[in-house]
Amino acid sequence: MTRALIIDDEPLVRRSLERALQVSGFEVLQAADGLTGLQTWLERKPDVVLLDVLMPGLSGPQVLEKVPGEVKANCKILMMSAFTGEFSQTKAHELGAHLFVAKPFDDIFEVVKKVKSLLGRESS
Amino acid sequence: MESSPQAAIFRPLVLRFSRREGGASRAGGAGLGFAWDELRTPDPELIARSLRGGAVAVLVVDQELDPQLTLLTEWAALSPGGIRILISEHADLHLIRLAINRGRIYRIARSPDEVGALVEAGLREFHRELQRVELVRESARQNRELEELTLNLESRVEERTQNILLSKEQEEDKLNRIRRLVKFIKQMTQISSIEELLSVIRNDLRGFHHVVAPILVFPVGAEEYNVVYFAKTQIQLKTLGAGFRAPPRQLGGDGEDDTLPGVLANVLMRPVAKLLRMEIELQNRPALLVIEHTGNARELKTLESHLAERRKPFAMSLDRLLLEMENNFSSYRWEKTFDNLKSPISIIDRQMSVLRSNRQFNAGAGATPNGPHEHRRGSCHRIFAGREAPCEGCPVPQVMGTGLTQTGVIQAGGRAYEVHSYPIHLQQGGAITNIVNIYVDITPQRELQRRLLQNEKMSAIGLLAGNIAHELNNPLTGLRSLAQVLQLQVEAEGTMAQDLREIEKASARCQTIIRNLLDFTTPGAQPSRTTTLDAIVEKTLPFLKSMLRNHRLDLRLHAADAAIEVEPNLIQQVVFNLINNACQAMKKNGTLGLETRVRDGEVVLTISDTGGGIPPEIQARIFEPFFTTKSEGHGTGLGLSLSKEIIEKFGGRVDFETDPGAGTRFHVRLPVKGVP
Repeated sequence: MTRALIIDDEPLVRRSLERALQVSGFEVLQAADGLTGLQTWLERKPDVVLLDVLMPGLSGPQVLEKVPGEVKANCKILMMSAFTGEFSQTKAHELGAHLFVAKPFDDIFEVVKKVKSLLGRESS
Repeated sequence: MESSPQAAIFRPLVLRFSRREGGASRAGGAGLGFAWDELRTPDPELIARSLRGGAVAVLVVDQELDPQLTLLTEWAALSPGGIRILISEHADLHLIRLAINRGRIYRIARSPDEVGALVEAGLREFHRELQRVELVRESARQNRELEELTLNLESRVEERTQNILLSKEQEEDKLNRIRRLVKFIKQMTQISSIEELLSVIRNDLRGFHHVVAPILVFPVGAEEYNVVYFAKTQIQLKTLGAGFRAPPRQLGGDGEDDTLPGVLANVLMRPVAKLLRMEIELQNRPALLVIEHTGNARELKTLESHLAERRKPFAMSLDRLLLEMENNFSSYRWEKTFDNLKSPISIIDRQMSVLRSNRQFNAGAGATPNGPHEHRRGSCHRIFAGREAPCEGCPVPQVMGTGLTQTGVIQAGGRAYEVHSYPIHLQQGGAITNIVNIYVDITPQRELQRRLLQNEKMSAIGLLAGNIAHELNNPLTGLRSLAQVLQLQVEAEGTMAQDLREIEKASARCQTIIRNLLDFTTPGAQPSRTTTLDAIVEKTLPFLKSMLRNHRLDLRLHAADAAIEVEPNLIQQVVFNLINNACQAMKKNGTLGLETRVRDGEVVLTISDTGGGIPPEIQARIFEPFFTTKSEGHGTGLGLSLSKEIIEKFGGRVDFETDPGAGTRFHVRLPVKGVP
């Protein structure tokens, strides 16, 4: 089962993503802040990480900096942010993310679709 | 008469021409009262000689010796007053007649014996005659003397009278001259204008018939001269231009190079007669009194001496006039300056009564002066602020208390004034006599300050709103997503699914609002991008729901295909602003019109209202920064100026049409992308 890690400080976002991913057949891990997210990432080696940019403690980019390259290589990274102005697709790529999704989502299943296509599969 | 000197000296001689007595002579006459001599001789020669010698009083002739009475007749012719006695014994009538007529005899003696008595009688007669003649002569002499005396006296009296008359005339003349001079001086002291001065001079010279007119050349300012003269009865004044730079002193003299007649002829525009000039020493530069005349040398002399007496009072009067003119001019200049100052100024006394003030002050606070300066009496607070009591914040009491310059802020006529009060001590070290108040209208500064503050508040709110929007966005995203997830787990047609759809829709609406709000409040967050005006208007409408509650919306968007290259959030700000203005301009139940159309390569958004229109007097100012008609808290006055700035930044423009009473239409024009 594909393992997804959601690192976001907003509980409702975590919860909705978790529910949508679980419905789509993912094993879902959650972290409410950057540091916990980093630990979970290193310990549980998820296949895909959904990472918020702005968080208390470690921010999304800081988390990415701390994750070793080989860990990142085995993982698809999707960044999410409401601050489209400051943080764009390009910036996300520079940091090593594979995809950038702007919040808020119009349709959460579109996000799930994007995650699936990132992993190279239509459904699990 | 006997005592007369002539009578005393004169000794009468009696000549007796007779044969009988022979040459006997005797003196006698004691009985007669005077002495006499007698000569008796028959010698006709001696008799004739004696007769010629004079002093013969009586001639006695014997007819025998002078039968034809020749001697008698001759002597009668010679001396009619002499006494002639003829001795004739036989005198006939013819002889007697001859003796009487020719010889003018006194008596005829018939015999020599009678002769003695006759001689005595004759002597008496002669003496009487002599005395009579003497008396006549004396009285004539006395008469003559008297006459002479009278004549003399008369001539003297006449002379004296003449002298008296003459001196009286002279005195009167002198007195009159002095009187005229005194009158002249008196007039000179009362004169209040140069024209009057010239009139007085002309009247004073009225007696001089050869005087044509007086002309006065007097200095003005540092270099120029003015000429005052009579043009018929009118007094004219002309300023001598650059051609008359030289002082009159150098124009003096009647030499060939005398330019004065030419200069005056030019000024008077007619030929001038002879000129008598009198230089008047003034404090500054000399003036020149010129008398145009036709008189001869003698008349000129009188005129000169007449003028010479008047030189001094004239000079003093002219000096005073020129000084007064200068004073008046500078006081006029001062008043003008004072009046033209934008700030109201007043000088008050200790009781706050206005002594002097400028027009701005007199117009009252917040008013624009119209009409000329007029002095207004009353207290400063009454005139300026229309208050019976001193204004709150007035610094004058403090000035009186401390004696120092003070500043305070008062409110008057709906405006705020900073009042600078300066004490005036007319006596060194004395009490304050007056206070000068200068009112500086600080309303614009205050307004500006207030608006800046308001603006800051607004941007702070904007920032806060942005943050809040962000904070709201996250849970909303979760809410919406969860609703979407839950919908999959319930029956599609069930009530639960419908409710979840409602929740999702509501979340979506919230998100839209928040996104728009974020676009609106995030400054410079968006780069220019291609959009349409229609899209921007549509995006703005949700914000205006509460505004439009009281009005009808007439929406006609016809420019969905006209692309524009703009920063949407900025344009949205403009649209929002103009719509907000339009709504505020309308009372309840107005119609807000929003129309877009493409015309001549431009997309035009017209925002119309059915409000009161823009008053003509402020139309020119509505795009000025901080210009507002809204009350405090309802506008910053930056809306229109900023809107204009934003639209112009993207190559567009904003204009408006307004019908006072019927509404206003603002047109936002932006170039359509791709249209050259």
